[in-house]
Amino acid sequence: MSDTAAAQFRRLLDALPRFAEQPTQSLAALSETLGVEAAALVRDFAALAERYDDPAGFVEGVAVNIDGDQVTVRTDHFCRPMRLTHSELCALELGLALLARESPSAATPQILALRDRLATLITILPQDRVYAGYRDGALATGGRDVLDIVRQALRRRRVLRIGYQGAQQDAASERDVHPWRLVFSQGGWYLVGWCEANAAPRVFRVDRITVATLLERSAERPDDSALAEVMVNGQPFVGSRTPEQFTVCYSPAIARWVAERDRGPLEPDGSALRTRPLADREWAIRHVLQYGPDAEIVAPRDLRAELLDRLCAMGPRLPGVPRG
Amino acid sequence: MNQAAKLQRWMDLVTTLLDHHFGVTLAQLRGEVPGYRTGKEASVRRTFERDKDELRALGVPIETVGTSGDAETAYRIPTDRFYLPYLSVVTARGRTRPRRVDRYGYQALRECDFTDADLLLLAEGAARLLPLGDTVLAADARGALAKLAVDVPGEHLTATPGVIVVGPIATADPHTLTLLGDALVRRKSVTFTYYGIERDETERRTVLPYGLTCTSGHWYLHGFDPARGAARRFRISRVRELRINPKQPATPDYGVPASFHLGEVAEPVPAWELGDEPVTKVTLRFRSSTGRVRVARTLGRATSGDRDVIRFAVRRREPFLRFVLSLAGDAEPLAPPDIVREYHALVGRTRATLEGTP
Repeated sequence: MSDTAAAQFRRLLDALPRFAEQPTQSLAALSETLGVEAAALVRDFAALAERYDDPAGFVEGVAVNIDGDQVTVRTDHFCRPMRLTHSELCALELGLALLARESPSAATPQILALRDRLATLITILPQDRVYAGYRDGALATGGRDVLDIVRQALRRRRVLRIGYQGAQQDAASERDVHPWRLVFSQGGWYLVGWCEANAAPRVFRVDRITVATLLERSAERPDDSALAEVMVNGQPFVGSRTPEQFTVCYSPAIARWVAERDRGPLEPDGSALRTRPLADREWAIRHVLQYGPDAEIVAPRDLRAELLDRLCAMGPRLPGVPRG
Repeated sequence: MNQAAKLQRWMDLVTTLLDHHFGVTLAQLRGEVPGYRTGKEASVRRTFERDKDELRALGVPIETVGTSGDAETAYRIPTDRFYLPYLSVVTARGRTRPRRVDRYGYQALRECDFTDADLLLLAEGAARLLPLGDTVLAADARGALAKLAVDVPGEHLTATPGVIVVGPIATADPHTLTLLGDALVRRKSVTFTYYGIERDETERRTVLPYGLTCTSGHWYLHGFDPARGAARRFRISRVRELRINPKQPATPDYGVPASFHLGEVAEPVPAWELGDEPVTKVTLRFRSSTGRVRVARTLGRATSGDRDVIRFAVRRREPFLRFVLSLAGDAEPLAPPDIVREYHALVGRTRATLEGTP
């Protein structure tokens, strides 16, 4: 937040109720409680304490004294927080809207009722009605019931039993998983945890979890080195330690989307070359196919040949179709 | 303007208005608020009017008693509209009541009940907002929770540990989001430079904003584009040099039509469902039921009779055909015939690319 008078006013109104029962507070403790830098709090309180131009006999509504790390506030005002502002309500409502779209439909009435109850905590101002409903959102669709169970497991540190249908499996298999992380990345949710069946850390796409049940057993805490095997730069990744790589050339027609997504460079002709870990050959083939003739595997050659074989099996070549 | 002097004046004004339950005139305020004591009356009134507007914008409910601008007009802040009601937490073990402030002005405040499940939802929802790149929104969410935390024990306002939302690398500019929020509130048109990635062109666009959505982690502006005569959506990370129409700032430029529902455009949809093109019904036969394919099937609707035949609503053919291609032979189009031909042509072109030398 920039340090304007408005920002200072908001911070002070958040801080002052903390003095209602204990007029003297440590700035360090207050800083931690409020999540505001101590230096900013010092500036805010100093602005109230240093009043050199007040007329004689004036008694300020909020009397502030700063002594080292200690701040003393004496006032009969601001012993309670101010009501929620409309913009604060809108922020909470957007959070609830995102949550509603990742929660079981049975939870919708509770979320709607909560939105109504929140509305009783705001100050109604004449101009506020136009705020209503100009932000909405959803992170992903599907997997609502599973996400709810996974969140419960993380909160209660319990083992999950999931039915999981892997990418190439024709049916789901049952696994017991110690949940470590639930990560939203690039349009999808992923459960990261310790898979007992594999005795190894694993990443599970939530949309491939067919069913999830909370077990009574306590889950093991994540092991940092094991977690590093499946999380790269804060994102879940299968086979992050795989030594193999593959290189794709994206044509100038689509390279700008690739560059926008990863902020990587473009070649002089406008194409993009990217080298990626090759943890799953099937994933690599499907990744390249989604771009049709606008992406080709440059290396390794055997993967390129495998992709060509797959394309040959997908249909006869039409006469007269020009080369890409 | 001296920021400390303004802050002191605001605090003095608010405390004075809270003290006078039946209201206080500007003339009386000049005697009680040092910041209004000196200067000509017209100048002081302008300062007071500006302070009043800015404080109202910050959520302070300054009420006017009488006709606005009149010398006899009084102003006040009712304590029950200013202070947050007391919040009780209801759990399976009973109700936890907050400590009430034993001073004048606080006893009459109402009490509101929230269950521990309600509070968890609020904390969880607020946590979703923090990585989304809108710093004002994030600050508002944090500010709201900080207010609730005065009454509510911290453990009830803690989001589920280990839930991480990774935002996109190409994020929306926070300042642009703030400006759009302002334009939406005031219903003012905006003009900006937009990079249309499909055509690889940058051009100035003027839009009447209807709403903002955060879909799949990306921020979008939805609004009416007068030049195209239609509603459009814009990815905000591709918006630059946004300006709000400066003319008649207090007068709305437009209204949002009742037929527009932001919730209907908030959810992620496949690329082939976007746009204004007429819908083509395309049927695919799936040849596999692996985990990868199971998810793809859910993007269409099963037809009666054959569970492996799924129908899709397609507006944009190219993204759809590439989606089918990415299924690597696990599905193929059955109808309509032109889609089938286009699919095989795409397979052929892709194959031809690979048959060349890398």
